[in-house]
Amino acid sequence: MAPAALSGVRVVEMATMVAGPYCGKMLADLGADVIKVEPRGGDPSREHGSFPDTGLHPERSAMFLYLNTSKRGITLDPEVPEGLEALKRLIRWGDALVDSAPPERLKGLELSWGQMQQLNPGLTCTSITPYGRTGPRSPAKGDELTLIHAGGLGNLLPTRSEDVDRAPVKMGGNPVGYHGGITAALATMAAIIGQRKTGRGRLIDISLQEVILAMVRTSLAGSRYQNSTWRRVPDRPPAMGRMQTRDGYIVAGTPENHHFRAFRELMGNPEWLAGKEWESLAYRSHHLMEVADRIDEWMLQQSKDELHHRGARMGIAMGPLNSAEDLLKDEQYAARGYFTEVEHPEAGRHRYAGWPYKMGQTPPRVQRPAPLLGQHNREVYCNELGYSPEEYERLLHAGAV
Amino acid sequence: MLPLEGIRVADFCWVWAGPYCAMMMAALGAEVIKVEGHRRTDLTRHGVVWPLPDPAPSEVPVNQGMSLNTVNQNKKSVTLDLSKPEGVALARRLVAISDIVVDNMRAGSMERMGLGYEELRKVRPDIIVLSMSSRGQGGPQRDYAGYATIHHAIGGGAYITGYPDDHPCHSTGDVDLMNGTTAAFSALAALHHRMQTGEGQFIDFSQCEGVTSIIGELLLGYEMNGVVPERAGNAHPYYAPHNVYRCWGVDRWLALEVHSDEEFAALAGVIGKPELAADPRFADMASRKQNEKELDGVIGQWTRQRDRDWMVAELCRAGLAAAPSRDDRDLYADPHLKARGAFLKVSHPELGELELVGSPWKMSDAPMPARPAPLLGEHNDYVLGELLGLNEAQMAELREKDIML
Repeated sequence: MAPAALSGVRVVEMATMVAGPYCGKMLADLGADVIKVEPRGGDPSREHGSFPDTGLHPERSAMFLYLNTSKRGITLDPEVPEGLEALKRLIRWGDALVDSAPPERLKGLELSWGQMQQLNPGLTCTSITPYGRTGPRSPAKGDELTLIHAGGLGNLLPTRSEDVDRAPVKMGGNPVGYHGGITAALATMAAIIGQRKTGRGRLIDISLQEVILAMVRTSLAGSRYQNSTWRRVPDRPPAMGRMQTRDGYIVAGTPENHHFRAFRELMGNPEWLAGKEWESLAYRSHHLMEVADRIDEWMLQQSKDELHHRGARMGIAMGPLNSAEDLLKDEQYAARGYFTEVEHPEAGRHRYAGWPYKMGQTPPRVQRPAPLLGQHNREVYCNELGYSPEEYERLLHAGAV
Repeated sequence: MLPLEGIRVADFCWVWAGPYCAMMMAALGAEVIKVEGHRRTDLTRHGVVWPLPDPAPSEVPVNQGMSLNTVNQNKKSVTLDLSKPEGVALARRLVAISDIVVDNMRAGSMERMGLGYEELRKVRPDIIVLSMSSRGQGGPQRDYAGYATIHHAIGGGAYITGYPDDHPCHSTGDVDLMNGTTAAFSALAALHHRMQTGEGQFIDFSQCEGVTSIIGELLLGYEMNGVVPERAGNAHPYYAPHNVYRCWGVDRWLALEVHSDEEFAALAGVIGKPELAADPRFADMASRKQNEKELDGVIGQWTRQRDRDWMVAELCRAGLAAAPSRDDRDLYADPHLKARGAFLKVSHPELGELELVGSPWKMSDAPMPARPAPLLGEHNDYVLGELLGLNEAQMAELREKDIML
């Protein structure tokens, strides 16, 4: 079996929902030893689903199952004194702690950053919050819808809107959580590398608002310094973009003249596009809307996948808008072995999305399915945390586990 | 001290995704050397802008485009003509003293130039090479062209974005930045492996797959229950109210999401209709979801008449998750972002002082580097002279042969 890139890296994940757990998953799928610490009632993502036909079940939530692969799972209540003691042992054990609670929570348990450092100088604490640990807005609540707008990206969607009276729209799925998780994983990885050299960890303060803000850095600079317009409704009709086909939608772009010529050929060289004037980018910018109806009409007769292949082979950048169903049938994804089968004791055997990075020596893989609630309690408390079987029983009685 | 100090990255990237990946590593302390041909530069050095009220687009000077200046901060620039053997030889020598190589060219480009993984291993056996491509290496579509919005479409993100009664919509170039961040993570994981074993490796990164991995829970849901996830506008499967509401003014909106009965009661209080909390239509999450349209109407009536930022403050004071739909002016003016130091003051030799978005993390004992994107060829003397040991005569010869600027 191939070695794991992050073997020997120990992570305590006290986070819930998407951002913190995705950070933990990215590390765990590369072989880090990630212990997911859930409240006794479980990570709320166990209730979010979606679920199989059999209905809501905390061990069959797609969100939990996907986001928590490769981790061991324990339950812990740090409000109980014995639980707090166990948490301190975890902090001493770990290289990194991933936390998505407001900073007041750990501070209230006498686990401020300074206090954590005293327990373990090599610990990196990655703290993911809606607006950051500091600043006037830091106590505010935020989640997917509010944070994508607080950071500015929401205001720019839907792209190429034609109707400024229609509200801006969020990106589908949980983009804020995922972007936060990826950013947290990157920063945590860097801190661990630094710690291997210096022996000291870092406090990483990740504001999900700032994660989203980073995504609009170019639009912001453009509007401030180059007079470009920040708005979801563009100043000028767009040249090309998303188009409707008979069986769905496709995105196509012809940024340069030779792309346009290829696209015209793809359309069978209609006489209404034959004129030489069309081969100029400037002319197209001002006149393409005059023939947009005809292009749309032609598009509506095409199949998105067939057009994708024909266009791509002519060097035109195109792509169909794939649904979940399309992706699981896609030939390129299949050829690259992107989906991976995972067997879970409660949820059964299913294909999971894989990883965009194929690492030649240390390929990511699902080390184990997402944990059942408290699945590794005895193992972790008695091995990693050093409790004897009798002490573990006392923890159970005290309600710490 | 920054965590990646002492690490050197040879950056052969262009446009957005690759350069941003390298920029993330520079922000963490790595020395990132951006390699371009002075006659075949990064496309972002020939940015075209078309602001109002110009009658036609115009090209931006080679060091001044905002695309260039926001995804290449904190790097050094060397120019090398990679279509000439001497240029490639020097690039190989640079790789020999680098830890990580990144590119995002079309699949096969680096190999054709003699800078593929197998070649580079000969100059440095433990080199880490990260190659970002559109569809990934291998597979029937490896040579298909793509860019950010196409990756968003193929990866599955666009299908689920937009209003149900309207067309699906792709995102902006932010997809490239997300992929760049993800790719940087994989490079650092490889670095960790090398620290432990002395072994480098090749990382094949697919940008389409990068999008798919961040909708993984939706795909697994479909696998389990056969229901294809569709676009849902601003709505949430369970939470209501969960929407963006029009405020007084032109194109001013606020986002509000209510996650519990307690929060709903608080909202009812703020909008002056406490009786709504007991109204059977809205008494619990399920009924609020069922009567969402009506509820949105009631809230919208209240928000339409009032100032956006005042309402957000009131709602947040009541413990609710609310935010303005911030535009560019709002972001620069936001007192919270100012207090956080979210923007950096960057001194650009040609443009003067710029206020640019900083790194999306605050790390203790790690001051945020604030150097601008490099001018074209700015560090030729440093890279070729100091790092690779060429003398004045040798560099003059390179200039004569048009291999460097």
